[in-house]
Amino acid sequence: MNPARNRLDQLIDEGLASYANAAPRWGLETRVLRNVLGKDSAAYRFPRWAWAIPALVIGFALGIAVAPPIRTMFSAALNPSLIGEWCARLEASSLSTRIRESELFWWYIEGGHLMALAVMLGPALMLDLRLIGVLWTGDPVSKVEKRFLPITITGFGVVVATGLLLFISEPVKCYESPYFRIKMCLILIAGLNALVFHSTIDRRRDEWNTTLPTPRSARVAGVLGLLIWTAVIFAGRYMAYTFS
Amino acid sequence: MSGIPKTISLADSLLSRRKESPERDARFTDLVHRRSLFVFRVAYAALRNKSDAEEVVQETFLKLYRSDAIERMQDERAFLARTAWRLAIDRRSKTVIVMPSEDLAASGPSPEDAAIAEDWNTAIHRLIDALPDHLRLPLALSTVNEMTSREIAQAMGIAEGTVRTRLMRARQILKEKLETLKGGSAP
Repeated sequence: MNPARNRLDQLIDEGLASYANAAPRWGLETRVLRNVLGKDSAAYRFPRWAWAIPALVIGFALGIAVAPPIRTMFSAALNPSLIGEWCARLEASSLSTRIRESELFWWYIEGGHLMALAVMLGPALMLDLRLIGVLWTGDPVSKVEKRFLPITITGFGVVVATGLLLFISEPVKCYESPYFRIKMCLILIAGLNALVFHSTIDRRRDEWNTTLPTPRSARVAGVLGLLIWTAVIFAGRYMAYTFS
Repeated sequence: MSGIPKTISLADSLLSRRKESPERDARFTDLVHRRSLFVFRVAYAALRNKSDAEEVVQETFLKLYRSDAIERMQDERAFLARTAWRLAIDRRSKTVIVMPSEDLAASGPSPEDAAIAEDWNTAIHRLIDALPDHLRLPLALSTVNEMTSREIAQAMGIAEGTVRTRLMRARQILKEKLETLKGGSAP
């Protein structure tokens, strides 16, 4: 065989392979269904039950504040002799004292904590709403995740750092607050929720990246994310305003 | 622009709803999800313009939905390829003289320039675009989702043997032109 001839065949095959390899604008199927069926297909309709989400979130958050059994449960949950003593020693440390007594530093930490919460939770909620199928349904999950997740992770890093400093400044008060314990438990549950999501259904994302409705487990992860993080915010605020 | 509108009118919508059933809609929705990219590529092979190809996708599925073909078609791939191809050729014959495909606008490099710039893919695309239609169109279709000669023949409404001959002839011409180009510039 003539090698030059083979090279030409190879060049032509490569050129042909890319010749018709065009992709339409995103959402062609949606536009076709919308135009042809004369309505949004059932899969793309705004789910009515989605209105229940804010109601659930508010109810859950209020429940934490007003239900005495929940507070009592978290007040008695930990052994005061061990962790309490450790918190007392931490509060007596020079670092804790310096943070507590430096007004300017404290305000910066508190402000940074709140700012980072917004940076973290705004995109996280957007991603949760995409998983549920309420917002950004015109974009693949991977695209939404790529857009929002790095911001959430950055925000989370700052939240943890500033939160740790805030805790160090007043560890005993934090420890004694049932809302702080609720908040920590909720953050743990949120972490577990993310871990379960990323290690199960998210591993098969290629199968449902562009389909609607999203799989049930993805929607459950999204709803749980919304509920838990909202409750974390409420618990954090209750904690701040009930410090004795 | 063919006679089929881009968006459905109220009368069209009412007409469609007469035949509407949840099962039929579900089957149609599934078909759109599975085959819209294939239909797009068939149309794009003929038109070389994304917007026009998308319009053809809309028209193809609208035509399918309005007819009863969705219930009786034997080979959905062949049926969709044929319908999309005819609509694309129809659209092309009406638009190509006035607006000869925006993706092929003269702004790009010539095959010689592209080859000199060592971008052989661009050079080959230009050479394919320069082929006469009766050779270019079957060649373009052969690049879509591995369409066979039989499927191309069905879509174009010509004999399978003719398709094979034209594909061979098209490749032969491409080789000759590439040889000439390569003589002028080594990749």
